[in-house]
Amino acid sequence: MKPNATKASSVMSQALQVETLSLNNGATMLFRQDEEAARLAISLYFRGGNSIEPIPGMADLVDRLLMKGTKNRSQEDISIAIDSLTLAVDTDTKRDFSQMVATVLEEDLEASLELMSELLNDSTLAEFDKEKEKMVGEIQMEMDAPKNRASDGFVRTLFEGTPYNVVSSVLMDSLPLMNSIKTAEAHYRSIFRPENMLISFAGNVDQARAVRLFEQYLPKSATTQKAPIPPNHITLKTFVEDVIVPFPKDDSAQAHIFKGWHAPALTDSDYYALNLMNTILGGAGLSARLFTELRDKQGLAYNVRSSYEAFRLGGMFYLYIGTEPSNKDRCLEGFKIECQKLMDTPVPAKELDEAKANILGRRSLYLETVHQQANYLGAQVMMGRTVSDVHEMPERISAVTAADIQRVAQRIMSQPAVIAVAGPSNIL
Amino acid sequence: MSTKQARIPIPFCKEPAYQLSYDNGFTLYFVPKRGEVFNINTWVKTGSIHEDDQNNGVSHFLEHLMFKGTERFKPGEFDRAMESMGAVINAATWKDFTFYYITGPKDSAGNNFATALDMHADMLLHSTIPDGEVGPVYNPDDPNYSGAKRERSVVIEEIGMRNDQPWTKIYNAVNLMMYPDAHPYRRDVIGTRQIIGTIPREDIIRYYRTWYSPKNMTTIVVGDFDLETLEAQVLKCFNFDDVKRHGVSEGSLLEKAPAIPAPNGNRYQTLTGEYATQFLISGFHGPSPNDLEETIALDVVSYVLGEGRSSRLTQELLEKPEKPIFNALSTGQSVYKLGNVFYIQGNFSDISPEEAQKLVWQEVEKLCGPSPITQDEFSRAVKAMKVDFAETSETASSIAESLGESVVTVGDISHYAHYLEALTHVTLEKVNEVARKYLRSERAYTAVMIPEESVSDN
Repeated sequence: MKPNATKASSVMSQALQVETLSLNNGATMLFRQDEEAARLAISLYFRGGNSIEPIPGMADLVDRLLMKGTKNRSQEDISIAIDSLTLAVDTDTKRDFSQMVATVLEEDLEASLELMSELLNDSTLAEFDKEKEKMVGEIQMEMDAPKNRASDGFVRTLFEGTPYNVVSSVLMDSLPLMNSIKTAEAHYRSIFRPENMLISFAGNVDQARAVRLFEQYLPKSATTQKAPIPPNHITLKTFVEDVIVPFPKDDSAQAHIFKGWHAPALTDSDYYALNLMNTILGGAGLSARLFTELRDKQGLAYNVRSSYEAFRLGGMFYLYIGTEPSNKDRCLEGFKIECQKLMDTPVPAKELDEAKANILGRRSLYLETVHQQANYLGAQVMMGRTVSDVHEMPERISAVTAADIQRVAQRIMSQPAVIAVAGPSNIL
Repeated sequence: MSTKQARIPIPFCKEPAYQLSYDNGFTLYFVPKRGEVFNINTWVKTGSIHEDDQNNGVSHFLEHLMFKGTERFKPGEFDRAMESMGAVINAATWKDFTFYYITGPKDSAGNNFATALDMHADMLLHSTIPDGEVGPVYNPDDPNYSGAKRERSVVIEEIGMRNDQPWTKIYNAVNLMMYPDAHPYRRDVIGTRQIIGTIPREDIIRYYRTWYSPKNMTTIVVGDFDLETLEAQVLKCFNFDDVKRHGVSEGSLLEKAPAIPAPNGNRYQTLTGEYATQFLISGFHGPSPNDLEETIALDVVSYVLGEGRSSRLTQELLEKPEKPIFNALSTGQSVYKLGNVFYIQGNFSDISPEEAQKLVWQEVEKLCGPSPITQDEFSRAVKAMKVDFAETSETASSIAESLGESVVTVGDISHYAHYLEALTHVTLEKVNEVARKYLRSERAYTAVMIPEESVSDN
């Protein structure tokens, strides 16, 4: 073990005070001891995610198969073991990484690590065909909500031609291509390896014990196969005009509208300015512009907001509204007016200060539990930030000016948009 | 200042909760919790339980309108003040309750908390519900209406949003079958488009004055505070002497449920829609929440039947069949003041609803008959339920919400505070007895959503 403590800055939230450790199996661990926490958070990250899978969605399928059988245990044995440990464990693949995140009582730490290690080292990927079939049914169920259809179509179109567009409908289309368990096995063997792994741990366990247990159990380097190297860029499609993506559903009570653009990656210098712009436009909640203008003043919606999601190689910024179908054009007009305002007029100083305070204050809320802390830091690092980048957030937010926001608004929203709408066919 | 003070241990919380009861009927709970986050919750013991066919939806509509300003603060000022400190604010209405919350970051000077408490109390006690914010009365089904649309339309849009959720639609169908005409739980909490479009502002204000009284309100604070200072702050802000009731008398809580007759008619309903998959919910009347032992026993049943990864429905119908049948299956008990409800819900693709129901029933009947819950299953469930309490103790907001739900269902926090202790006394025999008592096929109410023929032909 080579402890390599990262000194925390004094202004930083206590929740983010971690030590960065290198384990003897090649893995990196972000460690934080929290004496107040009732449970422990064990979050394991593996670089790559959808960006390195051989077939779109293959990593998602492999995630599920981790729980379906190992050399020593059947699916049912695994389920009973997980429930007996009350191990809240989930596997998931995101654009830039795969993860196995868990929370557990301290008394069950060792047994949980032993089990998680078995899943990562010795899965047989049994039930390959059955899981594919189950995924079809689950996706169909998800798509039975018109809002999900529109959301799926928006992301799929925006990131078309890149590995960032692996949404449910893409997965559905590529499931028939996943006809070889060998491809899944190769992916499994290459991803879940210590040198490709980041451990983010928080809870009431002393450091020496945590290091000893993680070195003992997680995971062993079983093969000589190298982990695929994630790409350094993705080539985004350029849109020459607005693209409309319609999803007719005649018994839909509302029109569900997503409108959005490509946006800067997490490490882009405009990240913080866009984060603030999003807060002002529709991210803050009840006091954001979209909410007060389209909901409070015009009664056009119950749910209206904007979102900015940033990843390692790109991002997306979008607006959503669910509205009575006959309101569709008024809502799109409302979107246009609010976006144009941000491009034309600097945000007033008071509103900017409030948005900054919102972002800084809200951090305590999403970092309240050890689980949230471990997951937040782990995901940030997987998407290209360092722990000190994360610590710098307050200074970086404070430095953003109204001119920065106006420039970022123009950079993003002067481009053609992707607009996905689910609703009755007569309004599409 | 308080007329009665008690300290009550809370599962997995380092310090016991303070219960402070006052002469006017108002109750304050304070749970000391270290950390950077505070939560303020106020629970009003009214929801659709106190509505009728004329004003159905008024509790929820009022909840929206409470955010529209007071004599001291203009509409929007509260939202802006809270969100500019990073706080999350919202409210929710259901059958037994309406509650309002603020989760915020603590600052060293205590200004965030002081401001949040002041504005929260002011909103609850002194909302003005301005006419311009409610919006003019209108017929929401009139396509030619071109007048102003304000909060009435927001709620009507919320009704539309719920109509695009297939689970919500069949839940409502089950709910309607489960209760007789005279029962207040029969109605959908959100009301109807027509009522929300036309209910006069005066009716809403009268409802507000009737139910938002000290006796019917409980405030819960969780955070890193000193009791004496906190109590003084709360009492200063929640000064009910200043509230103008305009002669409206305080509402009496409905405590006794109208009798629910044994089912003799409609217990099955089929809905259709433009869907690729099919949805099913079955509901059963459960025990009173005051019967903690039976409530806990039925929670154990739910865990074993359909909650854990190793649960019966998950293993037998989701995981083991060679050809997948169900896309999702789960169970749960909802705790309501006038009687709990046990639900089974599932989604499936390629079989008929009758077959789906039959498969689920086979598992329920096995559990209630030849294959009762085993000691191993029971032990796993008990441990899982303990860990649920550990999880709840991790955030200020989940502690406050759990205490609040207890207050509105059984009158105080005992349901939550005593649950784990009572769980240690629940026996496997009791759990199996409760399963047989409540999960009877002749007492199930089921609604299914199936694809319209035109869709299934495609």
